[in-house]
Amino acid sequence: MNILGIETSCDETAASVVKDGKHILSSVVASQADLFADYGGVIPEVASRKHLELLVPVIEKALKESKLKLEDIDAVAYTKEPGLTPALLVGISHAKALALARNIPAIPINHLEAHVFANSLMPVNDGVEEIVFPHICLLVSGGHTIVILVQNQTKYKILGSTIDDAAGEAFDKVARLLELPYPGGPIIDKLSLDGDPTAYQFPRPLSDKDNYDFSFSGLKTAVMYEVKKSKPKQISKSNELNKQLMENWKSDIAASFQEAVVDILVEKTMKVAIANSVELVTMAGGVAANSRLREKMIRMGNEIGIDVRYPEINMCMDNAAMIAGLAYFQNENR
Amino acid sequence: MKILALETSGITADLCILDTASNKTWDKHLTEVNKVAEVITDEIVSILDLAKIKLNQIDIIAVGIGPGSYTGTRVGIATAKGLAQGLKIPIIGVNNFEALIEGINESAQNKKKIIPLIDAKNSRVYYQLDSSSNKITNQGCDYIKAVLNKIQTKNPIFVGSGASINKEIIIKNFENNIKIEKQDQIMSKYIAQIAYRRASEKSYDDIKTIKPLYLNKPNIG
Repeated sequence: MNILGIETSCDETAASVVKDGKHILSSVVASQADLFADYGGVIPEVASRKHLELLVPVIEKALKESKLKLEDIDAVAYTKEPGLTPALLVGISHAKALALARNIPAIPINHLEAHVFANSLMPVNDGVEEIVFPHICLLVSGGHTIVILVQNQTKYKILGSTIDDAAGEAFDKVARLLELPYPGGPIIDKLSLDGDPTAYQFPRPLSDKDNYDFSFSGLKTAVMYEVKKSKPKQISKSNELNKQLMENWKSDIAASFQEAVVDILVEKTMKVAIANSVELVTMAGGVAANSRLREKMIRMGNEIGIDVRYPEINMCMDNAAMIAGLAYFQNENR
Repeated sequence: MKILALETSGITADLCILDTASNKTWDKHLTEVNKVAEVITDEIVSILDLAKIKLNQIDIIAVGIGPGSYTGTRVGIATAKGLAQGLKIPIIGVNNFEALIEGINESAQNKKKIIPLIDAKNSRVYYQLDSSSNKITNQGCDYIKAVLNKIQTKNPIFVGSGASINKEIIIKNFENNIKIEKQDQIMSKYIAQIAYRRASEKSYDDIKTIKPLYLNKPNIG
């Protein structure tokens, strides 16, 4: 069964063709991130205008790359929620109308469930093993930080979540404090490679609590106070030296902040996994692309005998392949 | 020719089918416009049923491109694009100024005096100053008083929700020698009529580039 997926929930316009819920025949994403770099976040009206402009060419490209025609598509899947409402409405409206015109089903999909599902997707002819159930998934992005017991492709139980900011949101806010552009996550990840994660001791909120919830706003506030306190003054007459001092300082703040976030995420996720006797932990969402998170989650997994899996970077970000893939299993259940 | 027309830019939404061979139209009016995206495909099925026409018999998709609610207009255009892409038929966009003028029963000469005004909230209106041509330079969005000061037409005829809501200011400004038409809502049957004329000349829009008539920059807030 070939499903065309459509995704317009935020600032990426995406379409994809997936066969039988597992083989990605094409995945096209037109990102608008450059448009919002100076604003520190996505502007819904601007994103929505872009989705309307980009969706038809993105769908046509997805069909062309899949080597299939519209006549070969058996269903259209689309992101129904959550997301920015005016942006979502473009994809929802186009998908439902396209399905009506082709006389095929239109399948609404929850964006978060699709991210969790992304771990089950593989490229055609890839030798990746089938995913095992049940497993624990850490869904971590700009909008969400949730730890989920995944019982099968369509059955979940939320075991813990953030009580304030999402982890990705904390990355974006700290990036702003350091006068870095949006989105902050990838930039902080890169800066941290040159920084010292022990240079500053930031708090790990809720780490001593016996629950599976997260909190990042206290950490963000601690970073804010440290930035005010320790930002290098332009003491040298040499511009080059001042610039170097500033960059070193930013790298250290970034690395120390990132380390605190990663420690909270890894500790809580593994705690949940042990408590639920699972053998596999997966990660999903934009922050799952973070290199330090991947490294430390795998290291901890190795220490306690739990497998760790996460999608390729482009499948951690918003995309339509996860929408089209999950739709196959949800359609089976109808 | 069978034309399906959608209009979703206003405070109500409208769809119709025009069968030019029999000169018959079927209309559906939707009042809960905040739910349009949820119901529009069901309403399309329903109006096709009413007309006893199958979706694959439709020759042209016509759609209102505003100005008006940008979110609402995008729902209509995205729906129209999905239909046109799926059925592989042409799409034609018609703006609200044209649709309002189409609904007025006046001579061609008098039609040139029509100033369509569409409510843009907070005492602002979308306007078209010169209806003898459809140039973008004559269209915009501004406070009603500023718009009235720009008008050079003698004995203008006002129409649209912007005219109704600002009736008192308009009358005060012009005293006499004006007319204010009652037509407030944009009707999809006028969109269908205009689309038919364009389709007869094979003047279609490009499905990739058709978009709302944005007379305002995006609200960055």
